[in-house]
Amino acid sequence: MNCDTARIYAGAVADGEVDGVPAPILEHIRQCHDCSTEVQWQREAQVALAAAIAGKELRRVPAAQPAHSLRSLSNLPFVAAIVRRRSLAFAGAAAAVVLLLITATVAGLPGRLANPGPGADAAMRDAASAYGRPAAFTSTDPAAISGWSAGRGMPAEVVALPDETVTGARVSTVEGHQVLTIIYTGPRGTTEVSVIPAAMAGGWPTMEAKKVGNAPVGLVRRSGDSMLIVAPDDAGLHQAMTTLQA
Amino acid sequence: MDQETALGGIRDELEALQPNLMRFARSLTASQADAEDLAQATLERAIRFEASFEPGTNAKAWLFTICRRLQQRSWRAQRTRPSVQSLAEVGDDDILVSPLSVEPTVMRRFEGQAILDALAQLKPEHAVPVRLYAGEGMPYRQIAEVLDLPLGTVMSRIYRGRRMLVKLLLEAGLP
Repeated sequence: MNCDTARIYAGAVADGEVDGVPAPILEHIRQCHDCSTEVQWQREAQVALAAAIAGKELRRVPAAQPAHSLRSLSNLPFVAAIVRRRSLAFAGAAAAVVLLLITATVAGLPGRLANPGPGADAAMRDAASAYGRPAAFTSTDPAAISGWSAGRGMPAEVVALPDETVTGARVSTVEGHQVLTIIYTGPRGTTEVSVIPAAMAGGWPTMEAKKVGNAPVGLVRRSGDSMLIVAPDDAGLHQAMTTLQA
Repeated sequence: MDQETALGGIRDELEALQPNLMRFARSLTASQADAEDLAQATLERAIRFEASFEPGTNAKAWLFTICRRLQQRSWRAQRTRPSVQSLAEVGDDDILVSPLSVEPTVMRRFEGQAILDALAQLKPEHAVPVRLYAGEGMPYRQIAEVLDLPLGTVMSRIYRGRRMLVKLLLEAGLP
């Protein structure tokens, strides 16, 4: 094994994409100072690239612009013609669906204001059952974790928790949504914070906590993305929720 | 799920994916105008064959694969496909020499625009997978699927792309 062979995999190692990397290569990179430095270069480059690309998009797309609009798709002339042809055929069905959605929304509104909703319930269960799984990306550098999550299409700020050190992150799928989990380690044990879309959390911005099995799980609902916290004990959960809510 | 619901779903996804598609098309083409033409042709084809999309599968990968195939046809027709250099064909001195005089953290000192300018100088075979990972958040296996490349080739191209980018930035000088 030599460095030239191993370095080709430095990017994959930096990105945590190691399932296609031969074990001897991983071992060499782990033990070789130059190759480990190469992994750091790749990680720094990825963080910088993800931030540069995300920054450009943020500047280019006004915040108020709706993400979904048929007009934007129809701006392309060929597409506009096809959409016009086909939209008539679906107009009747769409009207029926809208009516059904309005009925369902009104009927379910009181319950959704009081409860987390099935999406949040599922996310809380999944967060508790996934608690303690290994990180897909390991780092104690919040910027590196932000870069990794941005590279996964889930840009997130790593919030500092009192007495806790960020140690890694992983991504899982809950109820069809990609969920980012940031892992912290402190004197009490491991605390995991998962970022879930507002659509899953439901209800008004508020905080709630409950036990799922033996695990204390908290939900910090916000108007944008909400956060699920699984902590080693009740005191740790309270501290994390208070910090994240602030 | 009935057919109309499925089609409505993929159409919503296509709409939401337009900015991603435009970025991908731009990384495959030489100019903004070419990218717009390619994105439009891709959307037109996606809508025409929307029934072939399998609900529950990855719409972005499906759309990007259509885009890449259309561009490959164009390259074949024009015989101007950028040269693809394999690992063995590229001199290691060109890319793999470590910038030993500075620490990797110097990357944090470069402005976003400087990084994007350097990225724009990379050849498509390196820039495209780098962009798909950093900009679209695609896992390596999905990039391999979209670009129809072996996983190992994706690994080496992302490595080399970033390595070249670092080299270009350092050659331009630290800020």
